[in-house]
Amino acid sequence: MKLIKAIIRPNKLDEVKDALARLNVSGMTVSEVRGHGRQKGHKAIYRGREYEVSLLPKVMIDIVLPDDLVDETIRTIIETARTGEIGDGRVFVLPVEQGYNIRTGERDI
Amino acid sequence: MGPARSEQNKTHGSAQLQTLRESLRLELDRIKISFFATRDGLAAVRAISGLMDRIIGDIFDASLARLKPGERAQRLALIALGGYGRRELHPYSDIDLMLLCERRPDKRTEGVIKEVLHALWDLNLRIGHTIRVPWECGRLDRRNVEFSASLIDARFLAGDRALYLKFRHEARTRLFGKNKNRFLRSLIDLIKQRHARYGDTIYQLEPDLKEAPGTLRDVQAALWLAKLIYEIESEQELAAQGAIDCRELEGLNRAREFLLQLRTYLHFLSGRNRDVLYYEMQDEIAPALGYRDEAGGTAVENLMRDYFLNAGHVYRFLKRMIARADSRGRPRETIALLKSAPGNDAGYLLTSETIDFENPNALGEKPQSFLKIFELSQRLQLKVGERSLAAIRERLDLIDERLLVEPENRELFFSMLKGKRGVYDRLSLMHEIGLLGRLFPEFEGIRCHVRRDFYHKYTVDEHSLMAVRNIEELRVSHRPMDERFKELLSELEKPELLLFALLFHDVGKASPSGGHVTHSLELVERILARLQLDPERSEMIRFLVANHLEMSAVMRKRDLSDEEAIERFADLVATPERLKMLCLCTYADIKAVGQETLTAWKADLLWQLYVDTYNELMRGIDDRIDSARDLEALDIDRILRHLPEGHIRAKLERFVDGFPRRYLKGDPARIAEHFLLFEQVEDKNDAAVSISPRGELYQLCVVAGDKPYLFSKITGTLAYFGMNIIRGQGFANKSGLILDVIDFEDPDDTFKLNRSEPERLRAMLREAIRGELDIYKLLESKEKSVLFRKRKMNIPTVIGFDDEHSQKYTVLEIVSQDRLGLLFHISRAISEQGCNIEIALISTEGPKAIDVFYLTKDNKKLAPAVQEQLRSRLLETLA
Repeated sequence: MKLIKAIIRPNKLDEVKDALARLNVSGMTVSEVRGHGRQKGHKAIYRGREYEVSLLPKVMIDIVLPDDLVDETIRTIIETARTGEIGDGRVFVLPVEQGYNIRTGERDI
Repeated sequence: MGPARSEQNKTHGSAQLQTLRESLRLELDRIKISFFATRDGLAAVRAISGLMDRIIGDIFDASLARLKPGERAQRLALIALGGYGRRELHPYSDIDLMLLCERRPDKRTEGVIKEVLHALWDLNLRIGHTIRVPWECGRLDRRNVEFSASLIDARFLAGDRALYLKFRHEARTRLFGKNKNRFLRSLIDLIKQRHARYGDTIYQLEPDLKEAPGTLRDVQAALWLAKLIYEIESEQELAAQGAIDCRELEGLNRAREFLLQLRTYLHFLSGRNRDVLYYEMQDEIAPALGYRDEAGGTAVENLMRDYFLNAGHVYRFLKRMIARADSRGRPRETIALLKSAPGNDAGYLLTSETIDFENPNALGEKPQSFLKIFELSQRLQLKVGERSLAAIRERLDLIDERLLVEPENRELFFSMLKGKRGVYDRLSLMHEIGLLGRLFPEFEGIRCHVRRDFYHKYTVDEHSLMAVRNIEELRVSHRPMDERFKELLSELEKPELLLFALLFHDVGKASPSGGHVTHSLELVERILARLQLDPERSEMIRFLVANHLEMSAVMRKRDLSDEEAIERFADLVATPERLKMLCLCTYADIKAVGQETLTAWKADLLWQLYVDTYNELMRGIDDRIDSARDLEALDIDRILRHLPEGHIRAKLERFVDGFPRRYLKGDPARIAEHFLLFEQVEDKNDAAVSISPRGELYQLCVVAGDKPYLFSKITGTLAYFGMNIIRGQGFANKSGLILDVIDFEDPDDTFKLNRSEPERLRAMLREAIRGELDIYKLLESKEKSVLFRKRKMNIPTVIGFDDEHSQKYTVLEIVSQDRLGLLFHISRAISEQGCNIEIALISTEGPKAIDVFYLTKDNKKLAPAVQEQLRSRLLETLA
């Protein structure tokens, strides 16, 4: 099992969600996050004053998947979330060691 | 409490226990069956209480009886507290017991107590117990006010009755006597804290039947307060002594029975003491209680409507009791009397806290006073008295939506919305007693309307009122996240229009099909037409209602770094004022969905969109039309339609050619007016000037041939007349003709006091522009007068140049403290440096003036050296 962490543009969330639903990826956790990669924020000017927007709003999606679905899922996320501009985001894949269902207490991974 | 399930705990594992468990289970089943047949919740909770009384009493007596002859325990009484004390025990609820001892229990007494508790635990009953001595019960423990409150409902179960009576006397004399005021205060604090956890509203879509505002805990709290205030023990006495109107009490009892019924159902269905009425439970309970799908709503919607009506009744009753507790012991004498005017207004009695009708019986002829009393209560920050609320409620049929057709009444309503605080309170009170719905039947349509989704926590009517409350609370918010929105709010010209739009933005949600925005807009159009509101205000309200989802849609679905998306959104909002209104509308709307919906993350996104759009609006104006194709795309006919016959398209095209696209997307009627002005201009040296009132401001339009110092002559003349420039735009067309549109304020009422002044200003402007009058010289003498005395400077001057934004111009942005003559000095300094103002965008936001100029020198951008010179000259002038 793998944990996929995808950090994407907020406006791409709906599209990515829909695309993943078509792949039958059902469970996911979505969080509102802030951060920067190479994009490193930008300068904004409001009424003659400059201010730094260093951490930009992003959305993070966490998905746990069997190994054989990982490649297709990553491809789908990348294809859907890409605009080609700086700031499109990142995808990380991590191994998952154990998983439990809280309601039943059963271990299922 | 659960039916006996396990065999494992057999410390008292006698056959006797087994029998007891079995009979408990049978009895509970019997109560359950009878409840499902009769749906009588009160009977069920009474029956369960009775059942427990018998079982607990038997166990207690048996334990005492087991003492050996000659052994005597201390005096001991078993007392039921809380819901059990009131004989309102729900299936699976906790059973609260107090073991009252004469003094600290000795070993033998402890033995008895243990035996009793163990026996009850063996029956799998959920027991909450406390061991007390009488004198403790009169103390008010600030950390455990709930315990003191539960004593109000204490009921003798078994044991030493004389001891119980002693405790009762102790508790009554202390809690009702010496500690009464502190007790009341603590109880009210407790209620307020609990309500705050639920957003201070009854309109929860998945309510907790025990704790949420308007539910069983509130019924209890209200009765506690009433009993304490009037020092009366039973509810019947409260009504008998006239402390509470018996209809009020009946309503409360009906609501209580309804809530008891729901909660009993919930407990039986889920098999546990679960108190939250989740959606899936609503689905199950509604048909079981006999609710059906009808034209007015589905079974569940009808159930919930009943729930909200009942919860509303409880909530209001409690609020009245709190108000009575608050005003106890304070002087209530009338401090003023607003006499009944000969017209159709009633007279009002004012006290230090309340406002009431002088004579509620004479309201029949004066229905406008129904509205007036709320407006007065808002303005004077007084509460509308209970007597008057009841009087209005009884006479609601005297008024309807036609009341607001009268401009005077309509403006009363708007004046209420202008209030800085307490608007939400008044509006929701008006809604509660049905007055708001009489004035706006459209709003009545969403009363208690339920929209089920994952996000909305409140009914549609409450959501709308909450949105109003969010704006009101923003004004006094100290949260860092709110600061920037708070600043926007303070800059709005007409915040009351925002509140009006928020109140009605979702009225279309009750319509059965289609997008609610269209339906809301239709209903709002109906309201606007009925109120005969002026076009300017109507337009703003219409804009906000029609677009109330747009900004959050752009936020969610568009890439904010995409300039085109920002441009399109800027085209939609068109002016900074509308942008600010929409931004705050979005803020309030999202926040009214649930307490946590507007996360700091979303707020940042909203702000980012606001700033980008604002910048786009303020600076994107150099996008001018400059080709025949642009002209074609413009739809000149739109403007021609506003002109008298005989106007030639070619001439109009010549006039607009070279103007900014954004200007030409604006109101065609206004462009037509400017064109007519243009036709009055005789030659290059001439100027046409018009001045017209616009709401509380005046608008000056000047069309003139471009020449150096033109803008400073115009602003200088305005300054000479003491006029304060609020905002303005100026730009040139291809043939070198300048159009300046300036909104200004007349702070000294010069125009009102002297009717010939506007004409004098107009004439002087023409003369100044034509060079027939030296306005600088005139102004110089005037600047020495008091009017121009420098005010304390709070806002530092910030000057910025930008060469990248525009292809042809250098953009100069100046933020400075607004003051008389500011623009005159800026524009003169610009002209003195030989620079030409191509476009000017003037705005004031509170005490801040924000002016943007698109400049050229010799038809080119400004060289760095020129920029520096201009900067230092400006800083010197504005210091």
